[in-house]
Amino acid sequence: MATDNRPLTPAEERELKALEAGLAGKPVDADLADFAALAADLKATRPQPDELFAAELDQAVADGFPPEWSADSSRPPEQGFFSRLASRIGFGRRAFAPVATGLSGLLVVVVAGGIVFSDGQSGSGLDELGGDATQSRSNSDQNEVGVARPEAAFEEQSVDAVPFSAGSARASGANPVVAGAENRDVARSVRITLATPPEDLQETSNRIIEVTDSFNGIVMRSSVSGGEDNGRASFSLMIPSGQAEAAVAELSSVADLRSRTQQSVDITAPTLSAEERLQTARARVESLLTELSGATGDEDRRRIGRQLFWARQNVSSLTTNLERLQRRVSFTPVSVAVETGEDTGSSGGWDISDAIDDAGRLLAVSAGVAVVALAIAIPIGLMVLVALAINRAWLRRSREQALRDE
Amino acid sequence: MIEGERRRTTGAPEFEQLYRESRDDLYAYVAGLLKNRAAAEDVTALAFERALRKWDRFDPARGSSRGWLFGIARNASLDELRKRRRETELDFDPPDERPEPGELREDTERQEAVSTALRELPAADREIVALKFFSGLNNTEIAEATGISPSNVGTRVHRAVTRLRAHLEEDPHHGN
Repeated sequence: MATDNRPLTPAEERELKALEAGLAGKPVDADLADFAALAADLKATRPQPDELFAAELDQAVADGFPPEWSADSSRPPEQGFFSRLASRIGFGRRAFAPVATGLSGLLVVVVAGGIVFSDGQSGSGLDELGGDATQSRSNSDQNEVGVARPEAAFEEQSVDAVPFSAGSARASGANPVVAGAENRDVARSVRITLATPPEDLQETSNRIIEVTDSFNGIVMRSSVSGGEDNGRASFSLMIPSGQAEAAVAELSSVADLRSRTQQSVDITAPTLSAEERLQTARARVESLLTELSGATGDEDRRRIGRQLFWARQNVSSLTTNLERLQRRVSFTPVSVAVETGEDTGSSGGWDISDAIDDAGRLLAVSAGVAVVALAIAIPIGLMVLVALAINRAWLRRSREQALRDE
Repeated sequence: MIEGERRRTTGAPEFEQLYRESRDDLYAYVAGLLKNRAAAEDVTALAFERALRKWDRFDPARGSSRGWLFGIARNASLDELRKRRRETELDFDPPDERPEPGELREDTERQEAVSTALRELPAADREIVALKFFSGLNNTEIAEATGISPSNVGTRVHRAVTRLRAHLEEDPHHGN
């Protein structure tokens, strides 16, 4: 209907005014009388509602269109977009909202759960969101494990490598349990943090030394400092690797275990290399000795003597290096720190500062969950809005098309 | 509080006044567009039901209540046309397009010829004629209901009447 937009001519304007006048029952110019008459005829032929229908509709409006109105009058109940969608999917109208809510909740739980589980593997996810809260959770886990089952916990921490008794497995030929552990030289180190009340610091320190002695260990360095309210002690111990597992378990039980970490380093390759180089160096010494015994001139004896001196220096250096590596396998360095203060855990009560800390952690985790939920909900919401806009535009176009096609 | 009671207490006086003023006009528009009395009754009732449900969201600053109400009725009518088209495509029974006995207040030949010519117009023309001459909407209200610009409503009315007159001139029973 491109012509619909063309402005009316003055004559057409007159005709239109005549139609308006005829509709209003006003007189018009004689030459436009048929326009006025047509307007009156159109007005006269307007459809009128059936009296029964009008009465029913009056009652329905007065009653606010009660639910039975649609059923009684065999009219389809009025449905919104989501209700129509629900009926097409197959849900009942009332079931749609709970089902949608349930699915959304399930989606949030699945995604949040995925992040939490991935947190344990990658250190990401809620760690960043929860901050200190997650750090505290990690510490708490270690405490629980350490206090309840020190030995079992140690085994779990050592699961990626051979136990302590296998530290010198290559030398002793032991440890058939762990596959691939035979003929391996593994150097380990352990760091233990204990907590004790300030008044027990000295007794705890003494007990650590006693335990070290009982396992034929060596106290390399010890330090005890602080006053009555707040103190600290640290110990650097060397424990024979064959007894390290039992020693660490006993050290962990001296006071409240706050944390325990272990590191393992496979030094088989450097040890083998050091042994081979030492054998070569010794063979070189033997060769030079043989050569020296057969030398005739002074010059030859001096030259061979200098070479022999450096060859023996090399043997000495390589021997020291090899002994250091073997000692590293034979002994396990254990670092023990003893802390005192409010977080010793033996002060007993859960006080206001603990409550504030817990509240902070709770808020941090809640904020993290809220961020995750928003990260899910916002894209879904945007998609729903886009879908609604598309549906609305399609509906409008479809309606106009129906008008043109009729 | 049941739903009906809640609706009755929500803007009821204004809505009931709109209903009283518009019931017959709205029916006339819908019947003129759909050419079927049963469908017109359904759509008229549906339009008032939707209007009552959305009454809280009606904003007088955005237009008249009659324009808003007729816009709702227009959407419902066009949905009925869409539904009818689908059913026709599926070989359902076509709607009864014969004139209903009660549709003509004065059963004169002239008015019957006008009525017949009107039924032969395209739906878009029929709609604008129904809004103007059956329902008595002014151009602003028609613009609000249909989305046409107010300045274009008069043009559309004139075009529709011109086509109607052309049909009437082909009708030997028409007295003009």
